[in-house]
Amino acid sequence: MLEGVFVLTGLMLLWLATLTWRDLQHPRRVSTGSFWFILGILFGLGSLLPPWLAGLLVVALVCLDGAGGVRAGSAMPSLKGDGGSRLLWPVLMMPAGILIASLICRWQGWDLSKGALLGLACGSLAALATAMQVTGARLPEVGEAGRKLNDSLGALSLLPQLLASLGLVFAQAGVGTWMADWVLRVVSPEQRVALVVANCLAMAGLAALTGNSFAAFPVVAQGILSPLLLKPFAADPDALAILTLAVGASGTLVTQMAANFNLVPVALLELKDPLAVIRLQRPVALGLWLGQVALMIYLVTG
Amino acid sequence: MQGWAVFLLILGLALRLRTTVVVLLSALVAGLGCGLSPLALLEILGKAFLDNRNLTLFLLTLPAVATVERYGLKEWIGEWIHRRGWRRPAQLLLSYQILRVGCGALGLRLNGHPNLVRPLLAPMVCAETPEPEHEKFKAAAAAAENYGNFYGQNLSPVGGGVLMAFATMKGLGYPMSLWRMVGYAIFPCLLCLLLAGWQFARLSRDQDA
Repeated sequence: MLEGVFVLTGLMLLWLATLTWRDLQHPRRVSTGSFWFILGILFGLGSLLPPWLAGLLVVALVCLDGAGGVRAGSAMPSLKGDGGSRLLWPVLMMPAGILIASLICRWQGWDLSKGALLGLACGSLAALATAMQVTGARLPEVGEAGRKLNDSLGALSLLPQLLASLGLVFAQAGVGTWMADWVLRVVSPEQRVALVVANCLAMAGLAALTGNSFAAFPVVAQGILSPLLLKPFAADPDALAILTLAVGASGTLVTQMAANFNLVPVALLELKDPLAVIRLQRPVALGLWLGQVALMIYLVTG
Repeated sequence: MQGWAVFLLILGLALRLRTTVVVLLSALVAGLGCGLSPLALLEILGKAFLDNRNLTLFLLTLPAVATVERYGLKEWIGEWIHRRGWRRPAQLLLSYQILRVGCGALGLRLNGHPNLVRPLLAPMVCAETPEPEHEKFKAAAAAAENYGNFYGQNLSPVGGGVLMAFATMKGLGYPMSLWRMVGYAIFPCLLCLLLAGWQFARLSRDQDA
């Protein structure tokens, strides 16, 4: 079932690639188009490709992006429509799709997580139809608008997928045991409270250093969360995984490395103190960190 | 060797090098360093990438979102905030944060700093406060955007972070449930609203005193 959704995504990416190739004003027409084309192939034909070839294509994607070959095209002027609240309908189709599909899965006893993803796909199609209905836009216009938004996200939209792959390679390479050994030099394996604190310190610290809680998660999950907290104490993996991820935001709130969130607004709002936003966020980040550590300690010891 | 891979990842990201390249290089160092052959490494990479295609499914939503944005969705959200008639700055900031959490739960990616905070929230908050306080309240407007954005996006079962954590944990062999993860994400989100509400109220009180 999900394979059909991937093929649909692949077809959409091929469409966006063709639109890019045809955009003669695009500064990096050929390489940007090729990037989305390769990604489209990976999605659409993924189950037919031998894994090594898929791996090679992934390396090609990263090389294209690394060489600065993935750029946004010229911006399309936004229309001053009086669309009003009707514009909200398409946006609501997506969560509605997810909810309905999940409820059906719950009722039938199928996999809820797969249901959410199927619902996302159905919801997107419903949203597309509603958007065209509400705005009166035709398919070419929708494609152009979608391409511009896709371009503006660029190669970064691949990041979660790349990080999940990195996590797998790290697991094979034994990064987790290496990190766990380090932690166990400081903390003994029975001290649940200290292990939770170490887990959350590492997560917030790595997120602050890299400005990115996404990249920190696979490292911490393998090094501390899984081997030192989940396995020995049979704790709830759903709760601890999402709380560990959220603890990373405490680090992101106090670091200059997260420039998009903490430094760009200083310039946008013409503030005098370059750290004005971070200064304000510090006590809230600390409070959140403490609150989440307390909840995790309760979950691990209770 | 594993240490080098982690070190490279942290250093590369801290130096603001291109994220995709840093992540791939770190994977290469970890994989080749522990004795995998280049072909085996490519196979793992390819298989992991294909197995995790669901993380990038949100691309399917882009054409619809882009179309309604082109016809003025953000402008409409802006007008809607304006029409609510919230007056006290603390109320305004917290209401914006709640709205932002709602957008996150709906899976909307707003990039609010240039789109909503600068043109809308900051001027509205400034209109209700005296000149010397503007710097403080503008910073609070940016913080409200960050708070709402960071903790709201975990409330969508198809949000990037939630799916990434889901995939990583599945890869480590845990039976995960997206909906239970989202359920636990409500706690930090509410705690953040509470702490932010306290912070915004204190800023307003300083102003009255």
